[in-house]
Amino acid sequence: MAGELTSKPAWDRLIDVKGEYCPVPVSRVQEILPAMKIGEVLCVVGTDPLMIVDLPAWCYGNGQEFIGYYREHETIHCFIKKNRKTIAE
Amino acid sequence: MKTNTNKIKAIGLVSGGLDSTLATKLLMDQGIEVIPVNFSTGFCVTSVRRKTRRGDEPIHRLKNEALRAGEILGVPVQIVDISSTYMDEVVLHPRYGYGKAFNPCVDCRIYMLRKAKELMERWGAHFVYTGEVLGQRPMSQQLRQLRNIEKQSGLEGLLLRPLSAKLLPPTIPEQKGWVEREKLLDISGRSRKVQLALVEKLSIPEYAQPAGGCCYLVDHNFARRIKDVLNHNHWQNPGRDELAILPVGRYLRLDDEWRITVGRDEGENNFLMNFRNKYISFQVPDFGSPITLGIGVPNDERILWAARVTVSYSDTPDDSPVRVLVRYPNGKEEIMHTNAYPKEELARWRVN
Repeated sequence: MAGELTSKPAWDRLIDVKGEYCPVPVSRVQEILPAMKIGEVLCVVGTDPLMIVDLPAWCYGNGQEFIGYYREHETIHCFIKKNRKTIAE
Repeated sequence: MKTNTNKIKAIGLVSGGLDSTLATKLLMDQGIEVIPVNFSTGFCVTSVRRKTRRGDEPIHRLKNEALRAGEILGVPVQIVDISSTYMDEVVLHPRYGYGKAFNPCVDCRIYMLRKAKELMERWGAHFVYTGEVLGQRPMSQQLRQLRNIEKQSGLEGLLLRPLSAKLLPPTIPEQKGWVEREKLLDISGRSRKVQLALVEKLSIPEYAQPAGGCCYLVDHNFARRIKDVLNHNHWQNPGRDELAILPVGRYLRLDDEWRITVGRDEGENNFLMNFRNKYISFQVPDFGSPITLGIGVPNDERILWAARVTVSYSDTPDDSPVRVLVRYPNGKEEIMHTNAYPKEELARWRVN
């Protein structure tokens, strides 16, 4: 599993889920990813510490790439690369 | 609806527990392309444990159970949030009534299966499966009720229960040869012996602990709380924030229009802090203290009561008055001086 990053990689789309808990971060990723192109990177910004275990698990099962996460004060930035079409496409 | 390819696809209702994990694996082993779906109702016990975790609790233990199952089996679990409609459309007025607590299990099953049917059509799947076991649960898994749930969900013939399939009439997936009936199971009853033996046989390394109890609506203490809220709210949905707080902390009611939630530990206090911009909060700043949220219509008497209860659950050493920080949702803060109630007095306000 990709872990903590020392810097933020470039991203193509960003979603803000600060203050939200599961299932919101995952369900928002499921909503946004179908509108993205394969190869693009999604940045998920939130405060739920469990994003860093849920999102990699979701990515693994769904064939997407969890690049890693970056902590900035109390927020966590998770980076997901779209590797393939999603279930919804 | 998407066009079906030759591959047979199935939508599964998956919690990440033993039965739904096994059902998924049985179908995967038959070459079925499974899309496990986890419906989030807002009443999930694990979800509240995650929100109120202590800072030193390892986070990997609290991974979403359905996602964990998806990771282990290598299948694309989808999380579907139905919490915005679940209270109004299922919990408040269930057609089939409640179980022993506040659990509308039959209506819940029908609701989730209707949603699964929509997804089946949207994603071009052929049928829906669940990990249900005949006779395992008293309300929703008896034969008559399993049949009724199938009918009411609109999935007649298209709902496969792989763990008990051989005890049930053949479904369309079996009749059409999409699934080999002979490779399905004939489990019934509450014992999990057969399932536990299968875990080893099918090489499933990990699953959420069996025992049910994953939903707050089957919890008697929670049932008392939600009934109390609804009885004081004319059976109207109290809204997302109140429902989120409801399972957390100690719950005390002063009168028809005022109640409080008092955190019991660091995890609960941290969680309750997130709602300080919505409700009046109370804290004893000079001693170890819970976070208390006041919910309802405040007045001087109610605020004093909430402050005194907060002191009562704090580490204040004696009955002397101490400072209580009262913070209003608009950010305004004030200090009160008050003392604790005698312990025996608190019991009369506790709802559970």
